[in-house]
Amino acid sequence: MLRFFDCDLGVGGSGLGLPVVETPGAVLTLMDRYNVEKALVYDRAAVESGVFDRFDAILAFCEGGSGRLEPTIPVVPPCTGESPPPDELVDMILSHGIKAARVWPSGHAFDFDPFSFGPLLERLEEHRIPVIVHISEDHAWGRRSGWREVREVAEAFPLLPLVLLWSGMRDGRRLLPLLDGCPNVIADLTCVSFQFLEYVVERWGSGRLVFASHHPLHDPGLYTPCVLYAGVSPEAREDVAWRTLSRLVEGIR
Amino acid sequence: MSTILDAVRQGEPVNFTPFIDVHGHFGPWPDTTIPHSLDYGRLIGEMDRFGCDMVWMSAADPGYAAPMSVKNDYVFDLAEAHPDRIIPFCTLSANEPGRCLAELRRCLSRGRCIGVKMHVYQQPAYTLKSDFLQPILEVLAGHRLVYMNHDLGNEECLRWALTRYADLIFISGHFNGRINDLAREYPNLRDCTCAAQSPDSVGNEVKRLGRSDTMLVGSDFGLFCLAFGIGMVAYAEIEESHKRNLLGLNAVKIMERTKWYSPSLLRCTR
Repeated sequence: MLRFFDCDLGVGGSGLGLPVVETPGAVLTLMDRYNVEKALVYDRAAVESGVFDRFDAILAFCEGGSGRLEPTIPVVPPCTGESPPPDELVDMILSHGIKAARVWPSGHAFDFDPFSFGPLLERLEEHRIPVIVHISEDHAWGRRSGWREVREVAEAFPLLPLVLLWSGMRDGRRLLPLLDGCPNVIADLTCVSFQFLEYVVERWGSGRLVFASHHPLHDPGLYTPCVLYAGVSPEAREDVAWRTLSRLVEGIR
Repeated sequence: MSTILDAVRQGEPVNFTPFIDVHGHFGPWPDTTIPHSLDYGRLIGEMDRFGCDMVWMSAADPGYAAPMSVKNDYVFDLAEAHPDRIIPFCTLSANEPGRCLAELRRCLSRGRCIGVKMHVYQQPAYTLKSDFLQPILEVLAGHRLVYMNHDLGNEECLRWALTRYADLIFISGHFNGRINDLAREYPNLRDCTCAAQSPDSVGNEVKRLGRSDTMLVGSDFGLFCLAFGIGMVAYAEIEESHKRNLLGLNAVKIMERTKWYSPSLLRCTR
């Protein structure tokens, strides 16, 4: 049975009425239902409330995850002083086994570009720490903004793995040029229009897409069948479901 | 495979119970890229992988891109090539109200047709009481077909239409609890699961209603992947019998009312 490595699972709590899973045990039960073996998780309450300097809650949560939950943290432009300085933050990421930094340009109201994030991105690139870009959390049918900024970051930091989430179902004419021109950009499956997965795999290979459940905003069942039934080879399905994200995490140095 | 969930977790075709996706679109797309959007083989191939018997298909950008007849021909040509797998809607538009009746008759003359699909985007406002729609609804009722709309509009007009055209099945194109509530009162109203996205929203709706006969699975297939319909049903935390209703048995009941339906249309019943 194909297993999944989920790169977008919010845990802990929500003030927006989202059905966030609140305990590690309950998260593992949820994951089992969808064959999700591992997940990169974030603290939904910290993201909603704008906490960028304390990561004890997500670290403690993942400790209860039987090795299946990997912590990730939200970041904002370093000059705001809301996070530890870049050197200190990256040291903290490495020493605590944090597997990625996340940005919400729309939700946290900033431009995700080299101008705003340069010093931090430089340090993250040095250690190949992935940056997960939540380009939008609006309805997946809606149009997104911020594509040019993602391209600028990808071009300025070509060794920095950039995982683009919530690209949306109808912005392929913006997403596909990014995949074409920026080899370090990897996308989730919210752009699973008809034959999107097949097209990307045929054109750029199976290492450019990853699985993201988007729980608690979406049901993971929207996305697992996209991979399970994709018209690509079993190896390519495994890459999308698991292997590509696993490689990114293992590539942190 | 014993259950829909078992099949989906394995990526195996759901070929042991009817799987009819009632909300698809086919044609070229002006405002987004859909790879291979006109490729019949890839479309049917995806249906085969999922074990999807049939899709009720309407036009791309329905009613607000190119004349109705041009958009309908894409769909009816596809249905002509795969008559047991694609059951077309005739897509109509309030942009061409004077041509709607003739276009419906033209589509009905081309073969099997499940009914009419309309949208509300980029066209003059209209309701189910609008004059140009009455002959359309009469023809559909006479053939015991379906009228699907992206948004069936205000409740007063919908109640009026449901009563006046009791032989016609009305389907709301997108997941809507208000429609399911109304469907408890009107046996000729259905809701489509299309775009239900929040965790277990389809399962929760069945539990809220205490029944599963008001909803039909839909995914916007052709624009999106079939997964968007079946996924929300397969993983729903409800009994298997409810899932089978949503996935196809409810749609079969609608087709049984038509003159052209035969159980042999469904591969799983052959």
